[in-house]
Amino acid sequence: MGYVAVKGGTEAIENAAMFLNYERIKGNSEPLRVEQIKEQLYLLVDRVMGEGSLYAPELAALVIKQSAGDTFEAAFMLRAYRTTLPRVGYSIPQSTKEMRVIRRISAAFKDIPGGQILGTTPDYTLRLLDFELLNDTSEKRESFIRGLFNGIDAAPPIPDSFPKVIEVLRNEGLLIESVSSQNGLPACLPERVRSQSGNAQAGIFDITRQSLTFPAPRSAAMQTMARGETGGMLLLAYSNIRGYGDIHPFLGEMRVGYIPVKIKHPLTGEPYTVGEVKVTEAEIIARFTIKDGSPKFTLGYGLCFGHNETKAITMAILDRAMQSAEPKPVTEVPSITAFEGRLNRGMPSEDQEFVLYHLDGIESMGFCNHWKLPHYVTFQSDLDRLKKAQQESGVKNET
Amino acid sequence: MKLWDNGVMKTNSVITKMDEKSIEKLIALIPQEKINIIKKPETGLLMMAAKDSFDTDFYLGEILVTEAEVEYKRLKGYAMVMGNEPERALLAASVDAILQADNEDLKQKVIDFITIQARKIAESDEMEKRLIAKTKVNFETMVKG
Repeated sequence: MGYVAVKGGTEAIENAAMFLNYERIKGNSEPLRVEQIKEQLYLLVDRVMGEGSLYAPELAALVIKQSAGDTFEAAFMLRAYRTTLPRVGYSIPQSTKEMRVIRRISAAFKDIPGGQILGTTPDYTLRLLDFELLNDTSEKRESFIRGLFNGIDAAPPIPDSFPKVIEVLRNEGLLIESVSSQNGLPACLPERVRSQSGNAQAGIFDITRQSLTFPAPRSAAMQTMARGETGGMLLLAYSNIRGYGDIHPFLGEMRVGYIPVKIKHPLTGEPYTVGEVKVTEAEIIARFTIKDGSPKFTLGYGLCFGHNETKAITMAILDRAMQSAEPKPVTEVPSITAFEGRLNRGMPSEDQEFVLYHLDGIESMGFCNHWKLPHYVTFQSDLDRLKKAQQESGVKNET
Repeated sequence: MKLWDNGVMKTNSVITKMDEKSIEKLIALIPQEKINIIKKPETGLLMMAAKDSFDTDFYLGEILVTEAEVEYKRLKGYAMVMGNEPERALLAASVDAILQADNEDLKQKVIDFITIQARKIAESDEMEKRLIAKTKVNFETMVKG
């Protein structure tokens, strides 16, 4: 840890922290209330909760305020905060079949059971600036809401839940059924980890308690992506659909809404609803691949906290991309250098190890930003070695 | 989240969605001196497990929750609610215990109050559901030629 071989500087560091706070509050505007961030910047709150892997809208709004809107810092703070709390339990695994839908579309099928519900979306709108918002008032808001709800009683409400679109393909036998090879925990893990006494549920990998090993079980891959950084996931998924991969995805279904959080009641053992969380789910149907001679569709799945469509879709694309080939253990790759080995393993987005190791925002941002911390000693030793090498080989500095 | 399941009101789900004022009002209905706190409200993390379309269970992420346990007439009541909500958790646990006990008078008062709240919440949910329904779209495929 050469880069921390400095001491002192406390006073300047403390002053810098205060200066940072000053920068945020020195303007003449009213203090921003956490409630305002929670309600009016809800997509930002959702993104931070997803990447911080902690569903707590109030706290997410708080860290957004504290970090002056830096999503990386905000997610980092949430992730740090969660380490101070005990884990009190695990929910019953919840599917999205019971979702209270606010938006639900399919880009693959025009007529889907229950219909296409656009919900809240900027899709199909022109991205023109709304200068009206420069003079936003409570009166304007109220009158807009009155107009919106005027005569709404006559409209029939949407049903409580919707059938899944991919069931259509599944019923017709057009979908490759399982990814069973990725289910469960790999046999190479020690029994101690596999059984995970405690109160963890059998068969579900928990990346917050166990280090990732490759090939990673499906549950580990899903958990890693669910808390991945949106931009990082977008980059990898984009590389695949643009050409560094061969997936042509169709959006089978994407839904946004609330799913119940249920636990086993500790006294009665009955299912007990704690509340509900907003999630986004995407199901990608990829162009058929031929396996065992019969062409079928394959599926990629994405699910994340909050309303974050880009993340859910990219997660589904990456899930599908990582199913492209059987992941090969690193040791089996015949190559001279690690770099060549990586190339031999195909496209980055199809390489499970490459994808899962690079999409965590806290890790990638942390590693990138640690280069700002003093590296004086490590650099000095590099400098010394370079100078010595130059002297020994007789190369002279021309300047 | 359903507020009623097969006609039975899920009191915890309603309490979860009640506003601050209603929480205070419901607390006032309950004889606090008879509620014995076994486990003080404590915040913690609940790991949320989800099921994907391949029926694989995985951990979606953690949720901030508050848990509490109380006793009323030697009957235990438990609650877990989302967020840092000690009052709400205590209240929900108290209601859980009261509804098991034999104080019919109190039981009825509590149920009546929660029923009114449930109807209010359902009503506003219903309005939003109508708003959502109005965004139902029918695209028409263009015919060649």
